[in-house]
Amino acid sequence: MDASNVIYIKFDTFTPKQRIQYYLGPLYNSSIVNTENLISIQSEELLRCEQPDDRDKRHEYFLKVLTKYGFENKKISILFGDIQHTVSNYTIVKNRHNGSNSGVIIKKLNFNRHWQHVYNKPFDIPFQNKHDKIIWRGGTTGNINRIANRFDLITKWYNKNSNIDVGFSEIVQDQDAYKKYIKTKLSIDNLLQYKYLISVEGNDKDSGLNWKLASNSLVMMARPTFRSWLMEDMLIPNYHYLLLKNDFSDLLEKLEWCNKHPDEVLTIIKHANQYMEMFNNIKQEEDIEKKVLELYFKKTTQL
Amino acid sequence: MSIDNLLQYKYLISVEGNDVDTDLNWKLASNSLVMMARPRFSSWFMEDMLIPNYHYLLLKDDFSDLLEKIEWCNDHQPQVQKIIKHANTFVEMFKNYELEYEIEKEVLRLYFEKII
Repeated sequence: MDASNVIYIKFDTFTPKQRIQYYLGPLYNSSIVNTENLISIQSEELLRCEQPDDRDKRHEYFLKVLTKYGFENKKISILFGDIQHTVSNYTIVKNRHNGSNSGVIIKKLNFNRHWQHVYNKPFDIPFQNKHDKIIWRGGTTGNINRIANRFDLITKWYNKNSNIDVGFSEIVQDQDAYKKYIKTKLSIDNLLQYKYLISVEGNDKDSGLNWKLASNSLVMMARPTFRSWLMEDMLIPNYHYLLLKNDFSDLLEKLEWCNKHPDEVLTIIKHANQYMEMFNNIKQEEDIEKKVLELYFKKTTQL
Repeated sequence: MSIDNLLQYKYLISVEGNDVDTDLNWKLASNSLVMMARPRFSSWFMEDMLIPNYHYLLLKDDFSDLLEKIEWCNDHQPQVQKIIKHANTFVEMFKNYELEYEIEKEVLRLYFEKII
């Protein structure tokens, strides 16, 4: 990559109206949908979705959100987990998967996991004071058939270069074969000691992407394939983040480029921070979410 | 309008129809700038690998920024020319007929290998 080839055209942030359209997806332009499949958030069927081990208490949390907006008695179609398949236009989700634009995206389905470190900022230091190294830690989520997956990253770069510090912090979902790639778990404060943070998808989006983009470090990643409230597909490669190849083969080359071009790196970090400012106004965020739900209930003839 | 006529203009819009804009390929290979929203479809041409504002000028999905972007282009001709150059370089990838044939053959070979 040649620095002179980086083109910076001011990125226009999205108006609330454009975001509402984005979150509703195809439902925004569709006519009234058949409401036979919709059920009450307080129905037995949905209450059973609240797994005892769900530390985020998604069902309880979302019921609170609906109650706050006055929609607790409306009927919905909803999926609580990581969405890895195509859903109907009128299903409420926290993310859409690769290749599908359907599903109504809501912010508060896994709010703490994705947003707590954006609103309660971790301790960060100036870029100049960070280590000139690439860092990544995370669990063994996702699988080897995914585009730009964690297993490709780790098997390719684990202990290969002293400036590339990547490893799994925990083995989950029966991936015991990857135990040899374990490294010490690091807190967000620790990770922020490094200039270059990798973001790589697991079961769905990298839940750390939000705080990484809001930090003083550079985000390096392949093109995201999952879309959430963050509107991942609106991020521009080499403008909001440094683009990596899907097989991560260019990691070292990109690190060298970064070390030689700190001004460009700082500009990209600034753009990422500006992108995240779009989500800073909590009142506006709630207004957008409420409006998305309002339109949802209108399309399903409940309003 | 023929393609020759269209190429009398500096700025070409590309917009998807039923699926990919079939004209995107020659537009990116031309001496004009391609303006488009993020492509939703992907084909042999790997549309999803195109980088906004690097290979083409990004438009909003509702095209509300078209006039603003034309003004930007008129004020930034050297950058527009750079983007056109990047687009041309992208298309270069597909120009070696022999290589294209090899890739296609390999894709099919793997296809038949996978389905046994």
